[in-house]
Amino acid sequence: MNNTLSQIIEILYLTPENSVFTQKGDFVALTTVQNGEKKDHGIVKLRRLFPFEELWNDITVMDASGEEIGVIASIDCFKEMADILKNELERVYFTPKISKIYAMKDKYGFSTWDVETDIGRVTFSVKDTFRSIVSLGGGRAIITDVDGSRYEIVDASKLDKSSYKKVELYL
Amino acid sequence: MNLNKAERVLLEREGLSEEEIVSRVVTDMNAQATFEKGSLVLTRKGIYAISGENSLKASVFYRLSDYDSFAIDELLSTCRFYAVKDGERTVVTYSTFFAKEDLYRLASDTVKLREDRISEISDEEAQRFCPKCGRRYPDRDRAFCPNCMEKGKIIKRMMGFFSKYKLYMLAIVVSMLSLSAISVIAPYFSSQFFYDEVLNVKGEYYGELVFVLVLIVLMRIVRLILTIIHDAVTSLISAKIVYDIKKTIFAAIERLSMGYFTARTTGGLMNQISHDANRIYWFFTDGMPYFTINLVQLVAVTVIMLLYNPLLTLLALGFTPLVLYLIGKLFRKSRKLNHKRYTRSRSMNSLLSDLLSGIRIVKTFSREKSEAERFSKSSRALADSEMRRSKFGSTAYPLVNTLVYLGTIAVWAFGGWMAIKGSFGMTYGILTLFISYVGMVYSPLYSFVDMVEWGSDCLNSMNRLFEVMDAEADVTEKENAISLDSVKGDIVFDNVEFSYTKSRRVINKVSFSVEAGKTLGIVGHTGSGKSTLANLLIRLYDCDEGRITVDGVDVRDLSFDTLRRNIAIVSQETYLFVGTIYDNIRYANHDATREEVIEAAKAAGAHDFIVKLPDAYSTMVGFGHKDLSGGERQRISIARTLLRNPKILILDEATAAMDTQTERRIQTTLDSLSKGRTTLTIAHRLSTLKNADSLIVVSGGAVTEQGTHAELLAKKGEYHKLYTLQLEALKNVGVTE
Repeated sequence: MNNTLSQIIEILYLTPENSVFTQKGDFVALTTVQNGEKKDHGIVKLRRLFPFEELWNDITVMDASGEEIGVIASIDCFKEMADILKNELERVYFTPKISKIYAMKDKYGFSTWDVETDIGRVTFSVKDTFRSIVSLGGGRAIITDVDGSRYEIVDASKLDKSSYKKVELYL
Repeated sequence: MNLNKAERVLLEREGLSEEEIVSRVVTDMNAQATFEKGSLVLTRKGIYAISGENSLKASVFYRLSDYDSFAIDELLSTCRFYAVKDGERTVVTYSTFFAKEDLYRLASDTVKLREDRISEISDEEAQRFCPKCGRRYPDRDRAFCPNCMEKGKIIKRMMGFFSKYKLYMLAIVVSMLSLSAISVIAPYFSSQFFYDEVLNVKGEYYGELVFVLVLIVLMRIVRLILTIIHDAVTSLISAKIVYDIKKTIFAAIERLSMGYFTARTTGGLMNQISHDANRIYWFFTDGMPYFTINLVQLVAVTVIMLLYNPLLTLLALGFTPLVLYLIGKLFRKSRKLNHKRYTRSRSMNSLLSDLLSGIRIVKTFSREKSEAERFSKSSRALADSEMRRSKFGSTAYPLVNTLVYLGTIAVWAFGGWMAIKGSFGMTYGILTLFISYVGMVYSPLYSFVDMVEWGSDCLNSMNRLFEVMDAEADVTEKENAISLDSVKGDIVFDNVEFSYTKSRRVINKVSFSVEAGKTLGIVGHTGSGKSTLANLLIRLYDCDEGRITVDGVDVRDLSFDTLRRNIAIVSQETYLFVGTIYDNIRYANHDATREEVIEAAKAAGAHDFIVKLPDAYSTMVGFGHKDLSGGERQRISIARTLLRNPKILILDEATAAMDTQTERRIQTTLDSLSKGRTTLTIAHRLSTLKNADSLIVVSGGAVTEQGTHAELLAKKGEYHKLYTLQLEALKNVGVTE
């Protein structure tokens, strides 16, 4: 059955043989070569197909308008270009990691968090704590604030005691 | 503009005045993607990216003429605002989604500046921070600061709901106060007075047993009467107040524009109407009076005890802080366990509903065994948390109760000792009075601790309620709106632009016109903005730019009544209310006669299936009743619209859910009905549009092609492509044109 499907559906797999990724400031550009024809796609977007499971495999590459150009099965086969791709994915999927919770106050349906993260201290608000905090097991939790920005607790058991007590209930 | 220190320093350094600022955006990250407060300030010349809030740490200037454009790239948790020059991008700043909408606005402001449309830039800075405490509002759509909420004001406003029932409320308060007075006095007669004055030889009323018994029985009777009055009045007004609150919330919600509803879930709104109303009601009729009475009682009892014997009082009440502390801890732990149980029960219930709804799929893929295991796991988790909760409840609470009892023991011990010694004026009667009073002090402590949480929940509900009441509808009727008895039906869309959210423009500079009585077909892919055009015409939303006119009058100047009476829409969404089919058709025109309803049903092709139902037109439909198919529902919805007899008819995929045969039959009716009315027909199946007087092709929110069916086919453009594709597809399934 798979054979039949893959005969019908054509996916362009991007490999070091048919694609060249280049760094453009904080962005990544792509040039592909297909059937001897070179095509410059300009700045492209990278997105993980399985963001929780696969960090460096199964990456879709889209042009500026969001049209899929192709899929990278594994970034590691890109060798020296791999870093460019990994850095871009880290920028795209960047989620501040909470290392300390200074305060977490529940007031009138909102809880205001004052936290230290790997990129500095920040205050944000969360609505409906039970829906906005998703526990992923192993002490990992993703917190989505009122604006839709995400924050991550990598391992709650590694937080200091006072921080842990503040989130314990939701994990 | 509410500029910060860093911005003021920059203005001074650059020799700029505040008036030269076109717009500004407050950001929370910098160009290096770390958290740092800053802002972007747009002047006619360019954008200053400022780092710092209270002091100017750094600034970079991006001259408009040096770049082609500015844009936003949305990432997972952050977004980057960048400048573009010859395809090369330079990041100006990163930000969390906090500033996302504002950054989109800034990018569009730069476009308006370049196009010399500066007057279109709104100088109304989005209010994101509380002017009182400077903290940002937690919710972007609400100017609401939890820290500065004026509780007093809210409670006072809330009392407005109760003012209608002043006399009843007074009766409740008086009966409650009298009840608490009796509660305080009763122990005096049944203990101190009885033992020291009636049973004691030295007592003033020695031997007057009958007198004291009559007194005690009388008090019981008065207490009973007061309780009956209180309960009766409370139940009498309870339903009325809940009804009032629900009615007010619903009226407030209904008044709001579609934009309000698209931003919220139905569940959330339903919760708001029923949950909040009940919560407010219970707090005011149960929580507050109970709290007040217990507080008054507590103070009265303490004062009486202090007057009798200060030392014993202090001893008896000495445990109060400890008990309060323990109850507080107990409640916190209880809440945690309850929350856990609640989450597990919610997840088990949703799993159950998921499995039952998808039972056909479960069976098709023979996954019964694994699903049973999944359910058993979830059910076990719930049982575990249930067990832990009850274990805690059955051990921790009795322990605290025992501690409370220590207070009474202390009174027995020291009071008894004082009575034996005859010191501090202690008598047997006073001792028994003290013991009754100690119980009255400790028993309401649980509810006092609970009141804090309860009060905060209720304030939240009240606040939400007032917010809805105060919310302004985006689409409002003008004060001197023009009312037209009937319209001719000329429609003009003039450079119309619209977006639901700032990040995506749905309608882009759309212009077309339809003469009265003519038919316009609107063609395009899913999501191209066809239905939005219809929504704009009937003013479910207002366009951002350009204008839409009916008979030369801007729709924003027309009264809602004129619009809704003359324009009717049959949309893809066919919603039937709970009621009979007859009621559902008549929804559009309550004055319609039975004959008119039947005619409309016939015209819509609904009559044939309706008469086959056992209860025909009296069949109950809607949630929980007879389930009609998509096509049947749509035919009822068409009948509903036809009954309205509008001058302008919008058919938005009106026949999409029907089989080809039924569609053709109804199409003929619709075609004949279109005569004499201006009709906008939105359809996927282009064959239904062949007879339209003119057609427009919408793609990506813009009109890409315009003309008659023949003209567009000859043009061999997008319409031709779509048409031939569909024709082929129809031929393949054996349907010919």
